[in-house]
Amino acid sequence: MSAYLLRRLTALLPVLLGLSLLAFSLASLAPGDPAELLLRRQTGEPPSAADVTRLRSEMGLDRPFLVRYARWLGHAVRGDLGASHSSGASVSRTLVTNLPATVELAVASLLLGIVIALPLGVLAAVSRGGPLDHVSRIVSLVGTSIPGFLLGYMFILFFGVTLKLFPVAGTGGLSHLVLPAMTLALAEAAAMARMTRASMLDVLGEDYVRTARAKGASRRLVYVRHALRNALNPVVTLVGLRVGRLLGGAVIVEIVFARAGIGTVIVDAIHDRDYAMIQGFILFVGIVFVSANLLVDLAYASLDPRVRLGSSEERAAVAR
Amino acid sequence: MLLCAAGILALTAPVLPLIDPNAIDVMHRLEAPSFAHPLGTDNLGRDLFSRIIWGSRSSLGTVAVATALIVAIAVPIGIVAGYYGGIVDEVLMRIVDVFLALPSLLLALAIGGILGPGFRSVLIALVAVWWASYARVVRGLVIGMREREFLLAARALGGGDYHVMTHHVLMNVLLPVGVLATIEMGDLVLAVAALGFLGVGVHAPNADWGTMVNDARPLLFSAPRLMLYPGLAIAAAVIAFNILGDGLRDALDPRAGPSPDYPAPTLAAKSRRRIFEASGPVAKE
Repeated sequence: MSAYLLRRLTALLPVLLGLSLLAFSLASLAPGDPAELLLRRQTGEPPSAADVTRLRSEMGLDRPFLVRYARWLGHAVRGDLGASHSSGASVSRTLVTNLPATVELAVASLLLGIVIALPLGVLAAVSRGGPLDHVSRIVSLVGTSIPGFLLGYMFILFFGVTLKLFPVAGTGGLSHLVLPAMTLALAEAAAMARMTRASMLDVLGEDYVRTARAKGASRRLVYVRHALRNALNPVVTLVGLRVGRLLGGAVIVEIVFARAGIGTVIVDAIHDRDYAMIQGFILFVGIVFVSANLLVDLAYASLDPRVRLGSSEERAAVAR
Repeated sequence: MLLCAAGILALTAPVLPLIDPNAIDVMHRLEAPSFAHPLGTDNLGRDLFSRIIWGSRSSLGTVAVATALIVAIAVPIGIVAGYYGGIVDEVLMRIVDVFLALPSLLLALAIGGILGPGFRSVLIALVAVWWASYARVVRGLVIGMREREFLLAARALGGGDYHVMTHHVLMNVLLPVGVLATIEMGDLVLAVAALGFLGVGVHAPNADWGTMVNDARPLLFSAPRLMLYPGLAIAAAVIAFNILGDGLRDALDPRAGPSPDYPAPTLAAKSRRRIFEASGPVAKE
């Protein structure tokens, strides 16, 4: 297991380095001169050329690209992503303090999605071709196709305004989490339900399921104890593969429900043209995403020895 | 069918007898649906129906242009990487890894945010994000056919690398890429809408579905239809693309074909995503 972990970690290094280069060069593509923007923001009027030149050299903007990149990277590896252009706050601290709210939303949606998807997928597989199967298919198609913001606003109007069941905006206790998590969970549930169904159908055709039935085990016992347990592997893989979508969806949901989180941070940064924040955000989210993927893979590897011993092709074969 | 209708509407919008989508009429603001305004008017008195039709030009047009650009960029890169292998492949795929190490919507959002709102930024953001997964799929296809007889024969007949790549490899890659592009279009429509919603979309006053939803946010409680109808237009377009993409895939891929065990259209979409994302940032060959 530790050899597998080491192999995975060393493979990550070039990706992270490339990510930092991408983040840094993107921000330098921004139109306008950061020094001039900064001065204009402070004073509210067009700065003099001398002031701009002075600030440029203070910020090191007159140095070559690679020198600036190396300096930024040097600070970044020590956890310092610079200061926000608009508020002056530390970029890394802003991102780190806002991450838990986003993770909370993502994890809650994921759990809710699983709770909805597993029964739906199993029932659809068991009643293949029946009305329940069709309902589940339509729910899945709509769930993967409907934009998150539309769903979110519909929930706000229905559950928040008409029924007055839940608060519609802000960050707070569990009740504030219900509507955002439901919004995000539907797309997850839609994808997972299809995967559960397909994977259950695969497993139900296996010999050991027939053997269990022949031994006299009840239908329900076979479905849950024998089939579902083995059908879960591909579903776990799918969960890992959807981490990126989950993070992207969380941003939209945060805006809809005015929740705190990194989505709100990035949208504010874009609004303020805060390039230091956007640049730090890209690197930060990349690291979060890559680590989340690694965690899922590790969880998967500990479930299935073929993964940590074999190649990724074999893993894909297992998943299939 | 739905898509054809939407496409025709989008293309012919300028000649249709529609009310000018940007005509501001403060006397008739926030009117309920009527004969003159089938879906009512917005807070500036603009006709909502007309704006949705015109918005399809922006939303679907962006997706069409972006897809063309993505294919034009990713296919050559994927072919070169897969055909030559070795160090070329290694370098190109490490670059792809970096682009796949970010959630697609967030990278698009950051790029769009840096470049500022507008059609051009949305286009650049989509292409910059989506080329990587296409390139990886194309590379996989090319590696799969590298040792096949028809390529060996083409080379044995004296075909140079360039000739083989453009005449033989390319032709065999185009069909799967076409299917892939159709399947991905639903996601692109959603991404364009999301960017518009987050304020990185096409400028006001021009109509764009995502931007329209964003503009309608302050009026959520007083006039929810301003948000509902553009939102439903987005959902309808995405559903149509998803059905079309899955159908195409089933029709062209006998293995994932519509056998009684796998009638699920979305299953194809899921396994396709699996192919993409499984070969994501941390996978090794």
